[in-house]
Amino acid sequence: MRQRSVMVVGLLISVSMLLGCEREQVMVDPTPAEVSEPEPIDIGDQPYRPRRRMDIEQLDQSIQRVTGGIEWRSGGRNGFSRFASMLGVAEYVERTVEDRSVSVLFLKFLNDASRDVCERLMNQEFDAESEAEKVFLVRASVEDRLPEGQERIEANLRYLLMRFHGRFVAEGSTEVNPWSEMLEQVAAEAVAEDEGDAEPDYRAGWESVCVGLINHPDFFTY
Amino acid sequence: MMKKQNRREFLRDSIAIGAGASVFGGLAGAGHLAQAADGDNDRYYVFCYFSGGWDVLLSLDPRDPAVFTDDGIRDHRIQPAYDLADGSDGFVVRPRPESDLEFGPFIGDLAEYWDRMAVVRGMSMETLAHQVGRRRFLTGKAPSGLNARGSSMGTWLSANTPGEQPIPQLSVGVETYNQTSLPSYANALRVSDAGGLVTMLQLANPALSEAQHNGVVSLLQQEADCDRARRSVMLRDWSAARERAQLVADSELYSYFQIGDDTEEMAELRARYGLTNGNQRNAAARCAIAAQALLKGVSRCVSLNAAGGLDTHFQNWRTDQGNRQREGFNAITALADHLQSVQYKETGRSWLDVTTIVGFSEFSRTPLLNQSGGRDHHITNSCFLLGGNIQGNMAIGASSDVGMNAQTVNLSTGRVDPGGEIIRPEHVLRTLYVDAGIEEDAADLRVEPITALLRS
Repeated sequence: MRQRSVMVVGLLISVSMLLGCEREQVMVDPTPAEVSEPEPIDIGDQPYRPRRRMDIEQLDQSIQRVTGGIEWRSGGRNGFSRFASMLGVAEYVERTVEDRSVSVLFLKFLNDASRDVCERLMNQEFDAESEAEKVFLVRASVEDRLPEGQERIEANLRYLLMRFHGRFVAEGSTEVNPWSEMLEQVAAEAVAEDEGDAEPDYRAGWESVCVGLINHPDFFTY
Repeated sequence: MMKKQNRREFLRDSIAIGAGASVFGGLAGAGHLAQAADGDNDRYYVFCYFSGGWDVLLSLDPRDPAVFTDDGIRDHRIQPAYDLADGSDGFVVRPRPESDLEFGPFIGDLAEYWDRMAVVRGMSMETLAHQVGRRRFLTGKAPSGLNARGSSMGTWLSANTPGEQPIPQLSVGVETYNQTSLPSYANALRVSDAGGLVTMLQLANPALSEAQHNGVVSLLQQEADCDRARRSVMLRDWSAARERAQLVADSELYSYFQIGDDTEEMAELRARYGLTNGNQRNAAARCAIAAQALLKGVSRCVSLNAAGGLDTHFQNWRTDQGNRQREGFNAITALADHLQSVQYKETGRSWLDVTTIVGFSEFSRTPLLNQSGGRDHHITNSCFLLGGNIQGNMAIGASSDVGMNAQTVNLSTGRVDPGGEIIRPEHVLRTLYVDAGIEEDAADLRVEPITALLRS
């Protein structure tokens, strides 16, 4: 009996408190904040987050993506799979975390992969029967030469920097200069025989561009 | 008439004489190299892992069968059983009358190095699980579950001396760890045999023409030299690793490890290690790789698998345990002989004087045979250290004469002492680190070094 009385009293107190709360509630008119156009923040050219290296799976997929499906082949199989343990890929028995350091070994195998992939990519590009089959020489043709074809070749290099490195390079930017200089220099030095005449070997030049793009840190880091 | 060297031969020889870094100028540690050339503190390491858990009664921690008889097993709980093991002459080996070290019948030729060797006995592994024991010894830390916690000793010791070798740490079939953010150059290059190492070091086909190669190298060098790359830790790592990768590729280091080649150098190497063309994946071949890696200036630390198949719970204890250990010990002896025979950088000392060889296993085996005629896992272990600054003819600690249990040891004298402490793998690692000049407990091992292990 006494217990029931205590419960009833407690209930009445709770109801009165709730009613009290409702009466004392203060309504505030929301004040709209003024949102002005933010000033651009100068982050300088300092890196503001640590770059990370792709893991091997990302790298394998990236190479296939930018080359239109060409994978690194070694010993009759995918090279990244073949050398997975050497490259520090986690197999979840002894290693549970993948080694993502930019080691000597990683760069050696990346170099191997790039040469294999780029040679086959050049075969594909230079033997393509239609422009639609090409993924590398898209803005320039296999016939373009420097300096006459400079505009198209630089357009292609800008396209490649976007395709391989995700880097937008504006027309006229000097960022393409190291690439065009390498292309021209390698082509001139790796002279190809063309019906008895010595000609600059632009195929060798473009292959070097391809190898350089894949071995560049902008390709395998993010 | 002197033969004119081409660029690749020059690079390769430069590495062999320790000048590889300065050839490229930009490698960290190039300055350190000059210091190392005649430095008294130069240290190199070979870590020899006996896989599966070795029976130390047969080798490093013997008991005299005439004293520890089967009749007394109830009292001393130790059964040498030398007469049951195939290939045993049944006796404890004392290499010389003046030797304080005694060995079991399967120590093989390694007993000849009694005066350059210390044996740590009565060491507690605190585990009976293979992976845990192995990782405990490699890192000096109890794993978290089965996962290694901390970096392995080769990584610490390689990180301590940057820049001199193109592949500071080489591992032939042994796991290694870098879990304490040590520099990436200290990570092990891990292979299973000489063939794997050649594959790793040799550029795969197709090759670029010289013009293409130079063009790509020049382009990447421009990137490495730009401000953006200099400010980024990762890009600086990339730049250093790129130069080292270039050095490895240009200098054709792989030729040092083509053990089967028909050259005078390789024939001599095969003869020294008793290798035939058909068998180059055994302990002797791995020791030959280690010797080449050290002597040619390729690596500072080499880890190798000296013996496998030692997990002998059954009748295979009788047939395999002793013989496989002996095969490993003999291979290590060939390595020690090789290092002993080559002078170190015109210092008047041998390579063995600057190289510490460590032999270890994840735990040992029970002092009593089980019902199946094998031995199970036993927590009290031993290890040996040979060469370098190791005090020769030295037994550190002892397992008890009843049941071979761990006993407390005075770290200064190496003798059993009730006031001392139980030796664990981390004591051995801390000693190596202190000897290498890592005075602070950077690896966070939280133990003191065994000073009795060191000559100075």
